[in-house]
Amino acid sequence: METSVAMILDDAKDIKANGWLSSARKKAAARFHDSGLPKQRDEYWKHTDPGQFQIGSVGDGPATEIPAGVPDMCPRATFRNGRVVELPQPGPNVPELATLGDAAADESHWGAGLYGSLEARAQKTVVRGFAALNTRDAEHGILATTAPNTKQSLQIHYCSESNGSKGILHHLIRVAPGSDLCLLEFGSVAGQANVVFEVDVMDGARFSHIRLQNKRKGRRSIEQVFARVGCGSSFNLFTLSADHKVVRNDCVVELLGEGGEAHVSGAVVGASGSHHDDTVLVVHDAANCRSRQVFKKVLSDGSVGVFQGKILVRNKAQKTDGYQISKAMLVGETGQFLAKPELEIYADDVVCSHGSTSGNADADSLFYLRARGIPERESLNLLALAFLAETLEEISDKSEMEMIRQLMIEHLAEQGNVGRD
Amino acid sequence: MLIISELNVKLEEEDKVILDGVNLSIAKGSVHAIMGPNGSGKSTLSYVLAGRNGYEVLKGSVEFDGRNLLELEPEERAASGLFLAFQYPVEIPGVGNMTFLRTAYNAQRKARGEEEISASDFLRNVRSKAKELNIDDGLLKRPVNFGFSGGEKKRNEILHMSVLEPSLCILDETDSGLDVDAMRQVAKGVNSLRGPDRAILVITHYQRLLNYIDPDVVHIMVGGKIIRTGGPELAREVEENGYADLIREVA
Repeated sequence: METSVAMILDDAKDIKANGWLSSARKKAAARFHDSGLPKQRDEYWKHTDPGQFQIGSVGDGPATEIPAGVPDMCPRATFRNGRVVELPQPGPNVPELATLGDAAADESHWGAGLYGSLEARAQKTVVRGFAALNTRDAEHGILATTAPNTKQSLQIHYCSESNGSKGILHHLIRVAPGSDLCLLEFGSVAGQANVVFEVDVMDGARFSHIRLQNKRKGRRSIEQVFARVGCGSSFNLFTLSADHKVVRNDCVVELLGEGGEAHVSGAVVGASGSHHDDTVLVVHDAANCRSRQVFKKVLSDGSVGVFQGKILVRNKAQKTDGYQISKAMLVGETGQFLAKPELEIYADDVVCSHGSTSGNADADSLFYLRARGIPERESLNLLALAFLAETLEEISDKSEMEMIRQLMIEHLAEQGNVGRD
Repeated sequence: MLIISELNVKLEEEDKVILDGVNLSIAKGSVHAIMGPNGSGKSTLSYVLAGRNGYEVLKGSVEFDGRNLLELEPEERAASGLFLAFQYPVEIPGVGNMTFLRTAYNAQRKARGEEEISASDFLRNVRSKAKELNIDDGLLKRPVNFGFSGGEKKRNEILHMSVLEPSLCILDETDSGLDVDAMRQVAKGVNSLRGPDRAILVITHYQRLLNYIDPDVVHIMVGGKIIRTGGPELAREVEENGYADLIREVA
């Protein structure tokens, strides 16, 4: 695979001892010293045992496959076993890219102002030990910035060959004013992974981030996205999650400029024995911003889905429009959905709503399908697809939407909820 | 083709008897109608025949083409040729009408040990049926019943029926919520499915659908029993005098 590579990259092991990265790490070390790793008694870890992220993985093989439907002709950065091995050729549609090691060698790199800064801000609302640890220890990651007023795209593919591996990655994304960046992230970093994104969506910019957390049987990962969103900008994060042992997705988005938008959404196909936790905090800190959180989880017997979503509206964020919904469809008797919606509002002229439901497949619908001749398992699958399909509305790109719909079908079929025997 | 004998059914969760000794035989090629006031058990009969959960058969039997229908799962009943057109067709967002119909068609063929049909042959077949029924192609691409108008939902039921080619069609209050034009179109669809090998059972509250679908036999159902059976003139009698006279007669 390396032979066709645009650029083969050296490992960036020698981080300058007195450079910006080093000083950011020292600050993170101090934060981590104060916080330590979370305990299950902590408010946001009651439903997911944080100890799970510190034990060896139980993966059942290498994870190198590219999910079906991922477009081939897109600029792609490839990681192997937690290290960057390939970056795409520069081009008009490609954001400017650097590895963390290369950027650290450049004292005036834009990353200097961003690395660890959004993570540190997010620590002020809730202590986040895994994120501080990541900022302290990450040796690899990529830094991507768009040029102003362009439309660019990037894929990040993680291959990992060993189940017992660990990976800590820290990426920085800067979406320049008036530009548009689409990021598609897929694969598995390691048997046990800790990933941080810090994302700066500047004024009038648009960022769309799609994560395919699949093809990761038996793996454990904690993935954290910290974003700030400027005036009239939009931040969109969609996660399709399936095939895990355990995943914790933390997302903190701060709407800091007027007219900003944040959409954080996801769909989960929870196989037996898997645990999927989505914990989202959207902070409205400017007027006239809009946010949506939409999560749907299909949970098979013995799987657990967690959703902890909060909308925090600060006092100057008048005319806020905040929305949050989380729903679970339980297939069988022993799946569990644990939801904790929260609103904290300090402004007086806002509209915020939240809702959460869980239940089995609708009996009338199931009967309708079976009465047309579709066996029970297959009928349940079609209903599960219909249930998840609502989240597809959150994706604006039609081809990405269709790719994810097909992946949903594939994963539902693998569940054994299927009649396609 | 269908022989219902002394069928007694109660709700599973309540001690409420809904069907109280129903006897009904439908021969191949014939069109029967069941009329009755609200709460007489007409829709329950259709659900029990199609295999819906929530009912308990206390006694009696249903024989369909020589098989004990009550032993079969809903999908097995469908594969053996029974079709229920729903009073309230269910919306299934995210699943295309065409995909759904092909899944159902192939599942039935598979259950009967027949070869599955290719996507392109199926598409051609459905398109031509849709055209006969005056159904817009757009309806095939949209998610099943999702956002369909009342008339579109009922026409879609008739399209499903026409594609799946059942030997026994049960139409449960297909006329409810339809305006005259929509009803005429639905009736036209149903009439096009009449044939020597197919029986049709029309369940309706009003006589007006029977102006367009001419039944061979009309049954009046009251209190979970069939109290009168006659020809098409029985439906007209009900339209003129209501059910009260018939109920009095029996009492």
